[in-house]
Amino acid sequence: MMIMRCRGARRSLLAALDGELGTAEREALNTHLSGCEACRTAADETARLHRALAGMAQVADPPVSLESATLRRVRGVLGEEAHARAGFGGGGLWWWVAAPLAATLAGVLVWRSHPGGTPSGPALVGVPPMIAAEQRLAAGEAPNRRTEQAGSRPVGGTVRDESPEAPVPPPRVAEALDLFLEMPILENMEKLENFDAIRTVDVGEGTRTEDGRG
Amino acid sequence: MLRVQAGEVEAFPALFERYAPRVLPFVRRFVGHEGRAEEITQDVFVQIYRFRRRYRPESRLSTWIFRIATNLCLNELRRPEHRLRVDLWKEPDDGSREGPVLADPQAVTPEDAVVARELAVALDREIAALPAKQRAALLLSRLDGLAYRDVADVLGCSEGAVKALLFRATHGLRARLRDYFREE
Repeated sequence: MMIMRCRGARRSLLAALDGELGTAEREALNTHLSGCEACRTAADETARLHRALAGMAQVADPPVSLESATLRRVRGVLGEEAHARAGFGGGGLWWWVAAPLAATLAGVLVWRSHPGGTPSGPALVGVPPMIAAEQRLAAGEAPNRRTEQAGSRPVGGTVRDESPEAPVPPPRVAEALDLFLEMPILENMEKLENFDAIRTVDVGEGTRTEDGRG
Repeated sequence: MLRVQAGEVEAFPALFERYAPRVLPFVRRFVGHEGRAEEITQDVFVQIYRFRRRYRPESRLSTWIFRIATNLCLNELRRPEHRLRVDLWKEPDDGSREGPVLADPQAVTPEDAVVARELAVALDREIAALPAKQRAALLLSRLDGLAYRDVADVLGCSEGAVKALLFRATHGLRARLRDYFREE
């Protein structure tokens, strides 16, 4: 038979009141309480506290303003999701803008990473400038200042000694390269494209009755 | 919730109406500030909607919802502004603030009713002073009647840890409110 001491008994009082004690523990607690005056007093106090706490259990109808504010915010989330879906999975205008811009961007990257001054050398497309420079150094080539400084030097500068096959972006595109890297144009096009969907989506209206409750 | 998960946003208001009456009192007692409680309750339901695909029907919905509510309340308690809010909330301790009505069948005389109300206010005050985890365990098990297993699930700990949290919480409350319980 399980034996419970005062410390264990006092730790088990609340669990016993909550019905969370196993049979053996409950029997051990009862046996202990029958012979321990101090723990019986603690048990009585705990039972009173338990009753008082049980009286706190309540539900409260939320104010109507809370419900409407919450549903308004949920509609916002719905709009964001529609926006994101249209941006990444939908067709339409986004692709008409994205495809040519992506092609232009790819051309700019090819143009920037091409090893100028060495027309016969391989173009290191997609290789970071520092690694490209190290690879060329390892191959016995002279360091290419243009490639190493590509991250900080303005595009469209005076040094344009690349091979004739390299695609050359239009000057206006080359001057505004950041615009295409960060693509704010695309983001704004998404908003414009999905404006109607965001504005007209409504969560709660379909289930409301005349008294405003669902 | 399954309907909401399946894309029926029209089912969301029903979900709100079913669970908000339980979430709001929980949050209110947890953060001890009416205005913030309403804001946090809003946040709870926005998160329910935002993360609806993460809910797994194997677990109880109320447990999942109260986990979100508890996490948001714990975040609120960590905010530096919270101390100021709680202090302001504690100010009117002269009995002017209405406490909750205790469901005490023995409070039949006006005197008993006064004592019960005083006890309710004192309980509110002492619960607000409990450490956050003890408070969470106590409110979840008392206000919402969650089983220890579910409280453990919400708090991300073992049932043994929940028992220990509840023991410390009730031990502290009993010690601080001993006068009320002795007089009864």
